[in-house]
Amino acid sequence: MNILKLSWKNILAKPLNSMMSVMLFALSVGLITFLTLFNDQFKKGLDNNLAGIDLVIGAKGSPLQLILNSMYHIDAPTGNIPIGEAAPFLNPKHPLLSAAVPLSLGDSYGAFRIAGTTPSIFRMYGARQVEGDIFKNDFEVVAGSAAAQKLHLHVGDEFYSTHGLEDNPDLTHDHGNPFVVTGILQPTGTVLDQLILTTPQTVWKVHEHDTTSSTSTESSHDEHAHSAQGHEHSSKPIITIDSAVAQVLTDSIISALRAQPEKEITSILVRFKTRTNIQSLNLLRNINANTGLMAASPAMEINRLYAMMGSGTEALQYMAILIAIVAAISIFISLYTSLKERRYEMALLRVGGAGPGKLFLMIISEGLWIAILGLILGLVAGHAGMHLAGGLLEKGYKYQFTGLQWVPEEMWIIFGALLVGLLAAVLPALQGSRTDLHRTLAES
Amino acid sequence: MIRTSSLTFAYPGQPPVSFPDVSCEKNEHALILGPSGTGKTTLLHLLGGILSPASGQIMIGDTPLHSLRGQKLDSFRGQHIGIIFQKPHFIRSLTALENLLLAQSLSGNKSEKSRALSLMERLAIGRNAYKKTTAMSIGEQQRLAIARALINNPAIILADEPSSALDDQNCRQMIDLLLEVATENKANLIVVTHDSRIKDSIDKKIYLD
Repeated sequence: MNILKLSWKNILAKPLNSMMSVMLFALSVGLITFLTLFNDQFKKGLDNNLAGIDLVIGAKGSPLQLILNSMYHIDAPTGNIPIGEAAPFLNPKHPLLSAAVPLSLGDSYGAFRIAGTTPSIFRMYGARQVEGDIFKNDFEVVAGSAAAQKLHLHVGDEFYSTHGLEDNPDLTHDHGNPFVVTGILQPTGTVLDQLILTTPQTVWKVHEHDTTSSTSTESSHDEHAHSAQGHEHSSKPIITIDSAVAQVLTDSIISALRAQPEKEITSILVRFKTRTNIQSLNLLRNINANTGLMAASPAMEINRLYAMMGSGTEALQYMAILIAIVAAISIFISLYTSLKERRYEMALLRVGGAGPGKLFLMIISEGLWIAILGLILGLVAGHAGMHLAGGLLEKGYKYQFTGLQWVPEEMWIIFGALLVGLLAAVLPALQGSRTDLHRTLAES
Repeated sequence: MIRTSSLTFAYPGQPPVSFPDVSCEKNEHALILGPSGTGKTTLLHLLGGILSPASGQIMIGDTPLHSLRGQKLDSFRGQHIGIIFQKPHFIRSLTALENLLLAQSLSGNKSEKSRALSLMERLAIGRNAYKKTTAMSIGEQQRLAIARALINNPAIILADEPSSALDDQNCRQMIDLLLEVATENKANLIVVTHDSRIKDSIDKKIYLD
């Protein structure tokens, strides 16, 4: 039985008082932890998906919407652009651009977006390995890892797409050619994990077949389940995407696109050869001023988004700090009142040989125990909350949120929480350590 | 063995009070008697190192208690002086046994559970070891207070009005038990009281007036 154990027993002896302080503490720590995790993963998610893209070219509208739609796949398109107008940027010989990836959006399967694009998108997002093979012909698709997992897609599966982003069976294109899964990407940590990729021509062809709106009520899921039953789901070997093959395919898709200037695509993701080139810097302004297209810079738009999100999380952070202050006051009051009740116990400890230092230490420990309990509870709650909210956030933001991750900023939360516990206990501890032995013993 | 000479004590802003000399040889016990307000508790606190004298000397064995200060005084008190207070007080969040273990650890000794338990058995409160002290009867609490005073094998046991809350029969038992265990442990027992019921239990008497 030493002073540390005694302080722990003292906390346990007053469970209701202690619990109140612990819960307040946990609430504050939990909230701050959640916000820290969210901010960290939100920013990392946005940054991961920048993928070195310097410019997105699409239809005129809100530049932020264009970025959100074409890079994060969380908003509706600003409209479509005719290939005729976009053709110069798709030209592989464009002097300023090192990569230009067309996107043709509009359909989905099971709430996962189908993007018509070229295989060059794999390199842009750093996807190197695929189970099975990449898409080579129309109606062949490569599914992102998260999409494949959630939709239970396997190489060789077939399915019909749905118009729009909703998982609505009434909008299923259930006639014409089904999509065939030729490959499943290994996880990239980017928005690619959440997409189903095919050729731009496929997206057009689905809609050409669609002369009237669908009348069938059979859901695409049923269809998929149906076709899935017939298959042996042995996994296919994982291959590294051959960049030469991908390039040849990309070139042929691009030239096919450019041969049909009257057709439309949604947007083009563009990388500059050199970012610091003055002509590159002027390209955005030139496109916006002199063409019917709109160019938006992801870096600029994302910074704007941070600024908007920032004020919201900042307000929450202030609230968490306010709760932390209330928690500290609660620890202070609980220690202070229990000190009054325990004056005689303090004197007994002194008589038994404990110096004022030990009494100080004991009361500080009591404050710290509460802080540590609140801290552990709060960290667990923050991570658990993040994990639970992860699924919801993932749907909204199209990238992964997890509570199982630890961020370095949490060291500051731990440090701060212990400091608050310590500060709240200092005054009562000083008071307790100064217990007047003779007077206290003589009084009772 | 304890010996004091020409002890005085002064409360701030008041003239110093002087106390008669107290001395106990080996195996000797003493009663300090006097009506209320004559400074019995002050003298007891001086002997216990709870107060420091304005002048005079207190020798416990070979140690000059009057010259000890701070942590040295606290440690010496914990190791060599056992004090029993008028009303038994304990650390409420601990069990009876834990209170004894804490007393051992505070004095700088090792917590010896076996010694604490056998001491409780000796005082016939062994079955209360794992009870909270608040769940014990007043008589049992008094015995636990004795156990706590004895746990570190002190040279001196001081008791401040130990019988004031007890009826005649318990009063008799209490003082007999105190004398027994003090003698067993080769400690000097000094009892401060104004309780005439225990006047005849101890031969050596020191009167305050």
